[in-house]
Amino acid sequence: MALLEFRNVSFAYGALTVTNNVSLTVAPGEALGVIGPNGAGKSTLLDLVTGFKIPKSGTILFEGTDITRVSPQRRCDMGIARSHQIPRPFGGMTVFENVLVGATLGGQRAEGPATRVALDVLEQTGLMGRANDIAGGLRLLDRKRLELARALATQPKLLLLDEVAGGLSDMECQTFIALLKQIRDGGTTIIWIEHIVHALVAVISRLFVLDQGAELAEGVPSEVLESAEVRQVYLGVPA
Amino acid sequence: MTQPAVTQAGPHARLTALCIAAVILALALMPYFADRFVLRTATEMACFLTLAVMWNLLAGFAGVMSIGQQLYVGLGGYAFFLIAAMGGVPLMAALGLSGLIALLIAVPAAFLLFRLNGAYFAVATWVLAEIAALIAAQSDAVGAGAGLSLPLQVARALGNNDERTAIFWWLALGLAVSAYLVAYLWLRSGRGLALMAMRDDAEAAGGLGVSTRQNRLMVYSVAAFFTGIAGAIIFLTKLRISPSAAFSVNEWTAAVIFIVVIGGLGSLEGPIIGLAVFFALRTLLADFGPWYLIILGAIAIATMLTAPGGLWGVLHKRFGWDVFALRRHVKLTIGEKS
Repeated sequence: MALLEFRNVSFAYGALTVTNNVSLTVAPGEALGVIGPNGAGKSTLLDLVTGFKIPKSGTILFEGTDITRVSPQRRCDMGIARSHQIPRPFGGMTVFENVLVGATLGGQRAEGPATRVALDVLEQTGLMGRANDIAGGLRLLDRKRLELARALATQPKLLLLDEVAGGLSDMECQTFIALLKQIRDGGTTIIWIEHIVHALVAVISRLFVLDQGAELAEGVPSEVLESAEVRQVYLGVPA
Repeated sequence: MTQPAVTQAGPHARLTALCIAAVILALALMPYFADRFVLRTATEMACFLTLAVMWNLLAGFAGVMSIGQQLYVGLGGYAFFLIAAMGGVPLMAALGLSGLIALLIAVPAAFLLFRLNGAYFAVATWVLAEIAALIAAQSDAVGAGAGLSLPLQVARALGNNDERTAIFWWLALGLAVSAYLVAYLWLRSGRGLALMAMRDDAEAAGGLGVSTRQNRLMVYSVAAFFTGIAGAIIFLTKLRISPSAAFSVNEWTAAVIFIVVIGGLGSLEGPIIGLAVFFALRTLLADFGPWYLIILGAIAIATMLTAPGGLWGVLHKRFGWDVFALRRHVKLTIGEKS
């Protein structure tokens, strides 16, 4: 059974269609990459998975259960967590407390076990040295790490990443790739939106291309990237 | 690999707890050495402290920006007068019931109010309080515009003037200490994390499993409960209640916001400091008439601009003081500190 399934999902702001009849299946343990030009509806796609946005039509299934209208909080309990494109730390709390929110409330654990999970995740994401810092004062790389750490602390089945590598140096980007590979190999299913394609293909096994809210192409990364349509729309190469 | 330990206690936790206990004991013994005027002022301060802690829990910790808490002061006050008029209900039970009635009104009010966000929510809380004031002023059952007086036998049952003053003080002190205890335990727990996450980013908190609806409802109704009892005690000491006094936005919300903002929004120490500043200014400026409010407002604005964390924020930053330790601290070894 698919972990996540979109059946003819559409979303619109009034007359502006942002997601247009998208159907998509993600298998357990799979790592799916999503690319597309700016405004193609990539982040909206993740909002539909997390429940921040509710589709106009279509059905979303998670482990075979219809979650189309389920609240974000409930979806988190079911095992869906995300990182935001623009980091949204809980600015008045420490890094550790930020991660603990995910570990206790998202992971539905008592504080004792949750503390152990949170510390593990801080270690894994390289944030241990910043554990007691106020999250509102972090620099960009650490904010991105915190986004990932908070999501990981819920120990999700499905991890949604929105441009975690954007704005990072090459070195920092390599660190992220290694971390994401480790998470993937741990059995967590990943959907990753990213403009830095070389980082993306290092981790994912399948690529989904969005253009103007609709599916443009889908398949093995190397083949998809070679296709004339994708090169024209996404890379601006004349067909 | 062993994990670093996590503590939630300040550096001198035992000493601090001992000092707090000693202060509470000394305050409780006040009727044996302080005069009536001091006790009355202290009673009023304790009631304001309860209001301030609860408003801080709402606005400073949970991001629920209510400017209509006078609704629950008034409801608690009126509920108490009506229960007292029936006669035969013990004092403590009557106070508890007043709080419960405020809570019972808060639940449906929350369903209405939390459909709104930000400024719309704030304005709606105020409107609701104004509606309650208008209803009270129109209802003959509660004396309409003239209000109610506490039946004489209720006051007499509490003893002579000195005995009454002492009882009022103990009630107000007990309430303030309970309010602090509830806020402290709540904020240290996992549910406290949920409140603060919600305050900092409600949507992101929702995505991490925080039920914003449930947490907001909980914090709003608990605040209503304590605010309601505070209202009951306030009007019990005044022996009279009227719509304009009961639902006064100036007295029960503006002053309380001043106390919290000056002392420190989002800290438990803040309201105590703010309370001291507020009462000092009120005494000093008593002869200045309308200038009093203008000066208070100017001080509040200056504080918000220069020290958003209030006076306690400044002290905490400068000296690292913590009386009520809420933060969880990860004990890192030297190598991990970068």
